[in-house]
Amino acid sequence: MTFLSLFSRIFGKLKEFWKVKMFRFAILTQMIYLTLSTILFFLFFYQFNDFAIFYESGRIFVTDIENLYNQTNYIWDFRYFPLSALFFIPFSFLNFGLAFILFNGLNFILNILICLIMYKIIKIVRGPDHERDDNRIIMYLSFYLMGVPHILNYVYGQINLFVTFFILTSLFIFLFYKKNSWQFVGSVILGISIIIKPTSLLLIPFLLILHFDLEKRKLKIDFLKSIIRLVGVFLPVLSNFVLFLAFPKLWGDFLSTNFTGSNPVALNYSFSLTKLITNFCFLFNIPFNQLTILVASVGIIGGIGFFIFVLRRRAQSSILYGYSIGILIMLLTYYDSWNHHLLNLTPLMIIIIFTLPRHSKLLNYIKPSLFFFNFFDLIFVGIWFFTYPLFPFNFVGTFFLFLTFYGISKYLIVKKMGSVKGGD
Amino acid sequence: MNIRTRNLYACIFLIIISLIGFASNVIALNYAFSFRTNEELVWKCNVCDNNKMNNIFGENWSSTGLFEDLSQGKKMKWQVNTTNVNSTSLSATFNIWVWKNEDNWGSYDYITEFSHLKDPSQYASNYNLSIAFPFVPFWLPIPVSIYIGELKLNSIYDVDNRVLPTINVQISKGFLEPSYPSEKVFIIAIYNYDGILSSFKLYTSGNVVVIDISFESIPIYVLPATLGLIGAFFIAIIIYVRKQTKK
Repeated sequence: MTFLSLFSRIFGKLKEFWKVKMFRFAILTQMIYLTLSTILFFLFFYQFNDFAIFYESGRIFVTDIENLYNQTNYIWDFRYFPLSALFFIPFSFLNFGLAFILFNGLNFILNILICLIMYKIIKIVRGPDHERDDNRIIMYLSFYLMGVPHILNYVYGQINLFVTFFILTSLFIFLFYKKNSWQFVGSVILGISIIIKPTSLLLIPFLLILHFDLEKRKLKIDFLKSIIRLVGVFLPVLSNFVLFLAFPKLWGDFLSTNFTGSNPVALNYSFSLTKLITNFCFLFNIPFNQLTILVASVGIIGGIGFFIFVLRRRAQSSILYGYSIGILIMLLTYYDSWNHHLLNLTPLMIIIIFTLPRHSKLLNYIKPSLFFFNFFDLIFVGIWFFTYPLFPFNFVGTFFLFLTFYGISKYLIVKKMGSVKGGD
Repeated sequence: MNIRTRNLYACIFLIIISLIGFASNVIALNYAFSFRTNEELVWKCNVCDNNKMNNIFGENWSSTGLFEDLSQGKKMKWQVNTTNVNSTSLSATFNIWVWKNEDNWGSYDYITEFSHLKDPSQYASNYNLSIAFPFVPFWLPIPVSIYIGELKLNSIYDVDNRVLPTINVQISKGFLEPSYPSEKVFIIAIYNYDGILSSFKLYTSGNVVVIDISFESIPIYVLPATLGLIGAFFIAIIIYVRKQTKK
């Protein structure tokens, strides 16, 4: 397939989507978000946004790579892998304001591509009792585009959409291409998403093709494919170590920035469980070690999630559920889980809605959570600023993350769900 | 070209023009005071482990300065006396009542002037906010997040102004005198959006709090907002569960 034919197919599909009024409205909403964020950027957030860090990292990567982690170069700490700065080199050659506008233009294009990948995945994994036309799919794609988390993603010039794009691309490959070579390609793409931002780091365990059959009491593992996937995902991540070897100072600075730099103790509105606990300890002067809380949270929630994944009773699209659990674990356990990080989760939730039986009661967990994340979570960030002196807990997002986690877990491990119309 | 298409192009043109306008018009900041003359600011000490402080900083840590006579349960009051703005700095004089137990304040203990440069970028590199207690100022010009973000502070400070304006301080063993502090201490100073120190915590390794001071006046909306949030959450859950069980 040439690029031209791919482009014409994409354009043709978008023309189909455009016929649906809701999709046109969603595109208009995106345009409003884009314009609003640009105005806010030039009025209030010029130099005070995340893009300023990425922009600067691209410049330093080219001019003075040894000082990539010298935090005096940035308004806030640059913590990512050194190769992530590669993505921003082209922007760093431009005027900062223009680079921001172009970067957000790219974010908009990524949103369209994300919708197209979601569409392709849904068309194939969609359950047999779902409507056969595309209207409902386009409606959910429109919900995604209208999502409020896009506002902060655009305003801050964030890179979550790159991560989502690569996660969905690798998911697409894993779901539809079974050859070992494609397993490798899919995992390399996931590795690239980790380089950009380590949000998808906890997806790695779910690449293992590991399943304990509860009926036969037998553990099944596909060693070859699992190894290929692990090699694929670690290859891009470990390629950072070439830079660390070439510039030893970079390695020391990377470690000190991520592990001994400014501490993650201070109050903020992150909805992660770890942050709720540290905020509680901070408020009531309870001695704590933030690293212990992080490790314990990852151990407990991550352990439960992984065991549920291994013990799953439903084999179909298991990688989709693995990815979803991985992102949920990350959002629940990493210190800082912000509203715009939800853009990594909501596309997976939308796909899950189409894999579950059309009238499944499990949708009572997934759907409200999706709508909360997509439209209401940001309100609670605002409310946090009114309550934080007495009650510094942005707990509602955490509640819906757990609800989603519970819904997915229930789907994966319950034997036969009487509560689910039409079986499982 | 029909009217709808023409309107669409007109809108796009206007958006581009306004973007170009904004691009060349990034607003210059004017830092200012948030308080007025005669306004009173009161802080309360929630935790003060005097024995631990004596061990870390020696017996004289509370003999002078803003921590004079500090102990748990005491309050400190500042009354804004005068404010002054000139071409280079913002300064204010305060009547200060140092830490007392009773609400009957009596006459003030000191009149003290504090000032900050109007342009924070004019401070020298590796600037120290203070090398004596409390190591951080009790007030800063507003908008405080941007002000502290512009300071080129010494490496003992770490500014986190993404959510709440916060200054983290890490004071190494022997930083003040060869034997003091006797162990590494940390400070988290959180400012409210009026630039007033709203929370000051000094702690040792393991986040063991030794001093906890908070600004006494909490905005009037905080309690109703908190109760409203918790109440609305539980009511929404109850209504949702009832609705689901009826189905």
